[in-house]
Amino acid sequence: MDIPELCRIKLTDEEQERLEAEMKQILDWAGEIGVPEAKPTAFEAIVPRGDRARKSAYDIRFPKTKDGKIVI
Amino acid sequence: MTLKDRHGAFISLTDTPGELAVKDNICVQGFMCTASSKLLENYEPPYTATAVQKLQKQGLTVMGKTSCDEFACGSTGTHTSLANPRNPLDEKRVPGGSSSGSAIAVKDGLVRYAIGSDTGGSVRCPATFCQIVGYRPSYGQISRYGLMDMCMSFDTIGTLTRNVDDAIYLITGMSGKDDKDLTTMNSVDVKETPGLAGKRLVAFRQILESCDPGIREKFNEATEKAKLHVDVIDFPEIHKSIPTYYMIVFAEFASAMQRFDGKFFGKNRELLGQEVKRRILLGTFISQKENKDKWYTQAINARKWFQQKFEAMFAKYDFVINPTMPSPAPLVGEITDPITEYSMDLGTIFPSLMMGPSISLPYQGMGIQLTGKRFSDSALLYSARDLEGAL
Repeated sequence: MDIPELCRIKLTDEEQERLEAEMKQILDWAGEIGVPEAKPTAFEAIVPRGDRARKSAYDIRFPKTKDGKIVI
Repeated sequence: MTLKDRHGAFISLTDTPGELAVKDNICVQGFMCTASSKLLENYEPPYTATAVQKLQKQGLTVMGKTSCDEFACGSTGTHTSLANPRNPLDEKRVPGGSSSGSAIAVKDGLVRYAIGSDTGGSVRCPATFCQIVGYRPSYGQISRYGLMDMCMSFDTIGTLTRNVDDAIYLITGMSGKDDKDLTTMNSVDVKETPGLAGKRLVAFRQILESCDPGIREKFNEATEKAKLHVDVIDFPEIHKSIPTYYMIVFAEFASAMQRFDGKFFGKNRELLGQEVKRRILLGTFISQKENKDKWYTQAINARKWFQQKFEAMFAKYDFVINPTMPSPAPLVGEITDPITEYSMDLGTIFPSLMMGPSISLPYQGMGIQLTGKRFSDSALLYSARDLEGAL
């Protein structure tokens, strides 16, 4: 499915041609944004990216007491 | 000429006099809310935005809804087919956007107070071009409940007034926690604080260099007149703030517009203007799995990097000062390509990335902008009041 169809926007041929050219121009302009990698936040430093959602969902379902025991 | 037609300020008006004009992307019961779009021409919201409710409780009456760029997408104020906004100072020029009608209504003296939305400069840009005061609060200072999303991680409700005292009055009234907007905070009341004396100011060389020579000259004149000491520092990456901002805006805007799915509104998306269509298409494209890493993920990293950079800078300085806009208001129809229009926002985007408050004061046809760290709204407003007195 092409992008206009996905967005449910019907374009005339002329409109499509112009918008495509402008979009390409804008994406080229944005290019590589290229600022250095940001430092991870405290949360990101503790929980690796892929584990974040799983960990938090697990912690909500099985909260732990201070001594590390899981509360059921 | 009727009041409604005057410089194209209003989309809808009541017959009764009032002191407050509200941008047409903020819901007020009893008024249409079109976001200046034909797509929503007949939409009457069943509720009032929290910010407006608070001002109504303070005794203000809403006089009308003001024109803007369609769905707040634009910096000229003219991207709409529902009104014909023109700069009250020179009708051949644009009023600035996206909160164009709110700025015109205040400049023309039709109302004393106006509110608008500011995502990347939409209050400060028209305030500059129409020569009034525009204030963008910290993100989380004022509830966005009842504001139509343009880019929800940057959107704020801001003020357009003749002077800083009027801005303080509105911001004091609208601030505070709202259970309907989880980003709002409790401890953000605006209180009188010491003003500009002793505050450390910084300007970015690259923003100054991007301005017209005439604007730079007036900026230097203003800082001298107000006897400000400003450290000018290099910040070459600041140019990257524009694509960083716009890539996030496109993605979030395309997502926000999905609510107009044709069930109640949005059947005829052909009615949308070119700028809105372009943003939806671009946002959808860069959000796709195969394209995401090239633009969107990079922009999210860059926003975080900018925030860390500013956090470090605000340990040394209180406020950033710069010309709000790099040039005088363009002529109607002068700007024809989107990149030129986006690039006008260099001075107004960085406060949005860092979520801080920012105010633009009028000075001889240009705007002087002060920006502080997040939730320094009180200090910024009272310092701006001092600066206003010194200019």
